[in-house]
Amino acid sequence: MRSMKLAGGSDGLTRRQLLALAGGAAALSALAACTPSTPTTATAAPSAAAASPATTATAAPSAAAASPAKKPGGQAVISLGEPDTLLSTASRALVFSYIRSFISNGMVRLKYPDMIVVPDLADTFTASPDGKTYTFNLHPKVKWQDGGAFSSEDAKFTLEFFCHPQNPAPMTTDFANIVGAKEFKDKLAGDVTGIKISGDKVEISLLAASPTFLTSVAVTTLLPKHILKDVAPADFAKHAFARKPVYTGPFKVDEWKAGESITYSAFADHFRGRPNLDKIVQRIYPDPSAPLADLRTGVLQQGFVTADQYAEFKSNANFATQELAGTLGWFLSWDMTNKTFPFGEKDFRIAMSHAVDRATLASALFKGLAEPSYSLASPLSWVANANAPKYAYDPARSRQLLDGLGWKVGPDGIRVKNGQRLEFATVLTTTTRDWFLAIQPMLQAIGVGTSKVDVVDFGTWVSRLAVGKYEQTMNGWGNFAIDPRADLASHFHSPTKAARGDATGYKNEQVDQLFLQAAKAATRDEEKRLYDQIQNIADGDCVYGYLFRPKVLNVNAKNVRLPQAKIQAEVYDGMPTWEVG
Amino acid sequence: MGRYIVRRLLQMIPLLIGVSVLSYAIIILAPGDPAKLLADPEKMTAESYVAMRAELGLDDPGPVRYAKTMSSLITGELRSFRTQQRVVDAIGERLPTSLALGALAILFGLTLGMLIGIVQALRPYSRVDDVGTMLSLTGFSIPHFWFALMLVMLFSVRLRWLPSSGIRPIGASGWNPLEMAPYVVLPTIVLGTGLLAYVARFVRSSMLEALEQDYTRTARSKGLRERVVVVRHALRNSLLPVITIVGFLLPLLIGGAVVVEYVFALPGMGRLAVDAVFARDYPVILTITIFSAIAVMIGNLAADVLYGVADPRIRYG
Repeated sequence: MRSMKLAGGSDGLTRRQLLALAGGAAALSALAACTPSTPTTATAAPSAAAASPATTATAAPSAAAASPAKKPGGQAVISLGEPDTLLSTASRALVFSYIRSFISNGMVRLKYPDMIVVPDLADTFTASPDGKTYTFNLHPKVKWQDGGAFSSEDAKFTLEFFCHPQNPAPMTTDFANIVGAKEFKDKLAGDVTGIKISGDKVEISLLAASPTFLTSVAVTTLLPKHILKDVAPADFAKHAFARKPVYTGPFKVDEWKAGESITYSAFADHFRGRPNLDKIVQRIYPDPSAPLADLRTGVLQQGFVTADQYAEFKSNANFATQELAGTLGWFLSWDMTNKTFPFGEKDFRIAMSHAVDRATLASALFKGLAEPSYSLASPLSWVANANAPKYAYDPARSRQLLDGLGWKVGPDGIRVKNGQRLEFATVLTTTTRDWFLAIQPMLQAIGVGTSKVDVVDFGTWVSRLAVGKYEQTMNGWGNFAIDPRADLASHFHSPTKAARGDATGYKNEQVDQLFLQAAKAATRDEEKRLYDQIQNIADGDCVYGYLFRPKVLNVNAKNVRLPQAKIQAEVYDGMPTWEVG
Repeated sequence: MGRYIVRRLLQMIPLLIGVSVLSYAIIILAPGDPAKLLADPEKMTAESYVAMRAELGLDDPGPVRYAKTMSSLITGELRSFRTQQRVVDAIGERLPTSLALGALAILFGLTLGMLIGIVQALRPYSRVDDVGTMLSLTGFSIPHFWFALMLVMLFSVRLRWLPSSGIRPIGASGWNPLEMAPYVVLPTIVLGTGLLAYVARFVRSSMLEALEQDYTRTARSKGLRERVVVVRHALRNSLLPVITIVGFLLPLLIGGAVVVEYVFALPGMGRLAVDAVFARDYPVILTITIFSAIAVMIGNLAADVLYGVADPRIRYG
């Protein structure tokens, strides 16, 4: 594991978030697949975003268009981690999702922080009343960064890549849902018949309505057919394109110096207008101390710092700072299938949750720059249920619950039941070990033994994050990289959990049913009501002992003006509007 | 000499095979699943996980995986699990930085270390010797990461004399020594200081011994100038232990220096190796291990050959 920063900055948390996010969107897709694809779905509209195309089509399509350049020119040197590849179809790194937002486009995109689907390369998009046909009207003046002409052929080429028989990856549920995709994959057809193009129009027909289809399209970056048409799909990631790609975004990749920097320059012919900056240099720092020195000396103009480092910049007139919402929520996780310890008992989990003084943790670990967490969904997300049960700090209640479960305090302060001490092992990484040190006394105060700690490297920790392989751990879940509905499904919908590797063993049939109902919801309001119910039950069951969300702390030189953002992704999404001078 | 070198080179082949087998076994037996670490978080399902394991060849028996990996390595087609880049290309991008930094550090450490060692040996048990000993012990003891951070704080943040990170100015490309010189000063000092201390201690003790030898006394009694006595007679005979050190240091050129590369954000081999280990990127780990093994073997061979150059009494059959 690379050193993971305490703050949710760019690089250090990438692996954590990658793990935490694993299976997220797929979870939703799988969930959608669980819905019956019978003619009855003809009456079900897709999600509200898709069902109200007129509304979304008028949404500001890009930050550059919304805020015309005031001071064009200049260069910004920023700190951001190193991606695995710059090929959108192959990258698994969170950092690429930030880069993607300023070098490429999809037909539609997700608007932060509410994650609503809005137009991108498509000026407008509409869904048929039965939710089975989507029509995207592409902007007529789009060009590839190498000057090549963009057309709906590129859209079809990209979508067909995911269904291509030579693509070794299996189709995701949403792409398999396109009419003719399976036949194409099985080499029974020469193309995907459900993807029809005509002029600037792309029409996609689905086998069944899907609330997640638009989200899948929104995270699909379009690829240039004129460059990749002769490359076998299995070899895309091996092609030079993967390190120096050509997309349609406002900045184009000039040079990637491995382990050192990636340089981008303004794409003057961008269809929404030229971005303000001439150039962006993305410095790659493996250690959090290196960008700190470069920020201080002015070499670096923007970066994310830890809570320990933040005060210095906040009080310095040469810098501007932004405290962004924590996109990574941390929690205690237990193997509920464990037969020795009472992790399967709801009251035990509630007792553990009540034992945690989140305000003290935020203060001690993050100098107050963290928010207490009580749920998996980000409070900024449209699915978040602010009224779901919260088990706040109340050690007296913890003791009462444990007493009620028959765990009595032993002579050394550790609870005992039938000769079994309430002392279990906690698997941690080097980062969570430091945090757990602050949690240990809180758990000890209610009679839970915490001395058994197993610190492992990240790769080992990932392999142990499954039922039967651990007792307690600290885990993190990142929001905003995928559809917020997937945040919940990935953890509470038991078939989805089973598909991606279950870490808790939590299963609630009522919750599973609600997920199925939500996938068929006719309106966003109905969907929201169902997701509220899911959270009422799951949070009531205290699946996790939620802890905190460290804020993401942005620092930039005073001469660099960034858009006001609520979350980190917005900072990069708004890159075309950055100004220097 | 030529036959000796050829024989040693041939002996390396079975040794390399042994190293590769052992390394591969250790790598694949380590806990952690590359497919889980590399899986696309937005698309991972049980099906895609299985597909990824198959794509990476993780389901093949160990010997089959080893054979396929080595075959790809020999043809230069071995690719990183994580980036899909050819491993030789990835190493090609990082090796120049490690070579440059390692060579400069060795040069710095050898030059200053020998100088300090000689001065100490010429003034044994004097204040000069004490200062040299103190410097050597400090060089031994000082943790690289702390020393690096202190140098950055002083020379980069406070005095603003030298850059704190990177290998060349922002926006620059290529290998322009003038442009790059300020960027390698601090890393060279940090990396070279430990070596300096090491060399100084060895040179001091072997020089002291040489200065007491009959041939030195004879040289002096012949009326030779002290500089000639020291340099041509005592120093040359003191070089054997230094050559041994240099032989062992050659892998430093290949393996990189992890701490220094991290603190100064240098794109070297050390970072590549550590990142690969944490990502369970088996092809990269294996290739770097084999490269390092080759460097160790070449280093040892070079040291043995240099013994003969430094000491005419040594002959190879």
